Amino acid sequence: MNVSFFRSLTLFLLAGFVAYLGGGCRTKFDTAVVIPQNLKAGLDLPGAKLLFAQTRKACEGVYAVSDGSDVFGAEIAAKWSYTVKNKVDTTYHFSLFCEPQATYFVLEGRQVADSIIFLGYWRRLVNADVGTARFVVRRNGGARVLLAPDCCQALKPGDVVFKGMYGNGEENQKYPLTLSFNRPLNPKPFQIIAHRSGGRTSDLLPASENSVEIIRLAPELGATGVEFDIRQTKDGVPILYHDDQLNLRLTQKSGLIGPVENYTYKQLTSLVRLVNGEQIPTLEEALTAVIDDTPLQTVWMDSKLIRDMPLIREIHKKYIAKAAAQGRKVNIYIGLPTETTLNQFEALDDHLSAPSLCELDTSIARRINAKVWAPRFTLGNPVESAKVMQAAGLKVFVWTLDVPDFVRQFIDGGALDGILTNYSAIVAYYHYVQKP
Amino acid sequence: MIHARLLIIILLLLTTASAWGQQRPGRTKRAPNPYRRAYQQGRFVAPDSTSPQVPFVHFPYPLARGINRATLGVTFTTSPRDITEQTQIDVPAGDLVILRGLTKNLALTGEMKFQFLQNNAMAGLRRTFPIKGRFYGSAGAGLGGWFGMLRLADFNTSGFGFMGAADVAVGFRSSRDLLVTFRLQKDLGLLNRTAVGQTVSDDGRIVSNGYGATVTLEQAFFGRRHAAIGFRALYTNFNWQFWSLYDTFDRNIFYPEVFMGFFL
Repeated sequence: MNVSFFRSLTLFLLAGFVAYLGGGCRTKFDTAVVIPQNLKAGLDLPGAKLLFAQTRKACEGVYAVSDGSDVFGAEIAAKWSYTVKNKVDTTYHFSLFCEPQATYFVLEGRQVADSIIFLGYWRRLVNADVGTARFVVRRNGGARVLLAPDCCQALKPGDVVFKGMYGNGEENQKYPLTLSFNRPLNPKPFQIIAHRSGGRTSDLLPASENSVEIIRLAPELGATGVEFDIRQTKDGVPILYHDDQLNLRLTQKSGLIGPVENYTYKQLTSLVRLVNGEQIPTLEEALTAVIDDTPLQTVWMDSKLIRDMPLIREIHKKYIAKAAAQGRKVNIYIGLPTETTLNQFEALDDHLSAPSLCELDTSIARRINAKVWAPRFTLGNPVESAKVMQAAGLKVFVWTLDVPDFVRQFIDGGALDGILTNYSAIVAYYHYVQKP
Repeated sequence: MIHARLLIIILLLLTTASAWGQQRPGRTKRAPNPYRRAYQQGRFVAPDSTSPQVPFVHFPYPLARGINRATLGVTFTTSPRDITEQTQIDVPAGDLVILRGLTKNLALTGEMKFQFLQNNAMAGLRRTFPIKGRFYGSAGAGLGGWFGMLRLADFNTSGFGFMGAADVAVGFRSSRDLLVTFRLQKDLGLLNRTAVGQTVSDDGRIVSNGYGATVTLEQAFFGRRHAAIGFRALYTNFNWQFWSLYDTFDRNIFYPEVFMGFFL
């Protein structure tokens, strides 16, 4: 036993401790926030009826918050959306958007006798806070007006009152939350475009980014449009995938490594699942979901790595026609983020008539007859440039804007036609509560 | 993951270097340290008088009034994948640490990290006290700020902020003059202001940003060059180095840092 032995032993123990610390600090991608389940059971009461379209429409608006304003802010914007499952089963969701920490509620409503009840969950997108909520609109609290056959005349402030309770996590709803109708939503056309088809995986959403499932979720989060990331498999199938590599940020362990472009579509569908268990969707599956299953109005097809632009254009045309055939007003744009994709796009014979979205210089956007010019938000609010582009017939979207203070000011600037964001709920709140 | 492993390997190498760096081939047994008994008895020793060959800036030991110590080095921080996702940004920052004795137990501390496009500086006070034997402790607090400017390509952004920090440290001085310091810190955000173009976002709330733990070794490597090396684990909701990424998460994120400073 000499000094060297003890020194070696000390170093060995230190190495073990450090390795333990390192292992404990290794990157772990948190699982999705668990949304409280079985809420719908509370709506299946005897005699409960679905709400009429005019009743749903009349519920939309900006509500003043009395009880609960310290938690959810002074105002809430309320908006309906829908999701279609299996082409026939339509579910209507009543979403409430609040600014503090990108909070939103997703509720379902039923008429029960002469009242309307709403039940659902709330979540803050910037963290993992989640809970349940229940509201009642009683006959003398506005239900009489909302349920009238001739609903509805323009509501006045205070005409409709949602008396509610909310709870944190799975606990019972024990905190009061009262909403009082204040004014209609801002009617100005504006696109709230959800990044990565609805939201980032890192925001712990219940569906993975760039999946069909998150496309169906996007309207509940406040989106009126979605942005996809398109790549092509080894056998040329356009798919939705963001990163350069297959990795644990986006996928479950599969044994496959390297770029998705190294694998065939069959290999990816049979061996790879996104973090929440979904398959990597094809571009066609994603566009079908947008048109058939949601009320989304805008699709921004971001060309991450495209080898076959003519194929993308063919799919593009096919789904524009499909939307038109179904009477759906959906603007589908081929996104051009780089010089490479721009060159590929300009090589198309019909590129001047193909709806495109250009992230490059304004002169390029005009040269290719883009329908949308999309500058990065880090350049500032492009008020003057936007006016020029809008005068030339283009729309202007900025990307990717998440900071609430910036969202508010960019919207207040009034120069934009849309914002691409990871937090649709924030953009929805600031857009809808803006007074015309 | 790879970066965490890399950091561990670097730290192990540095630790090994630390232990073996003291060895000199064929060295003769060193003369007894006249102050050794004082250490072992836990008696307070006059500032900086025990071994002027062992400078320190992190070790919680008194520094005589008017004495200055400083290191200049570099800090490596790896970007968290929560924010930068598949992209990894590993930009080293220059790191200047200064210590100036004010009174017997009180010292002025200063640290400046600079990357030119974004910089951070903090100044504070620390009070040191003997614990027992070769163990010493300190408690300190500081105020500071950061500023950054990114005006190139698709960026026209700038920002600045103020922050505060409080820390406690425990140090152990080995018989071979290796100074080991373990420090816990609590970080506060006092103000952050960022701008994109003409649009400004202010956040004047005083918030708890997070906390961190640091292990530092200070010694004369290979009997020649005095240096401080260390590893810092920050678990915070705001890291000034990544202000331009506009992270909106309301949760603490792990930032590993490795730093090395050479005594000036």
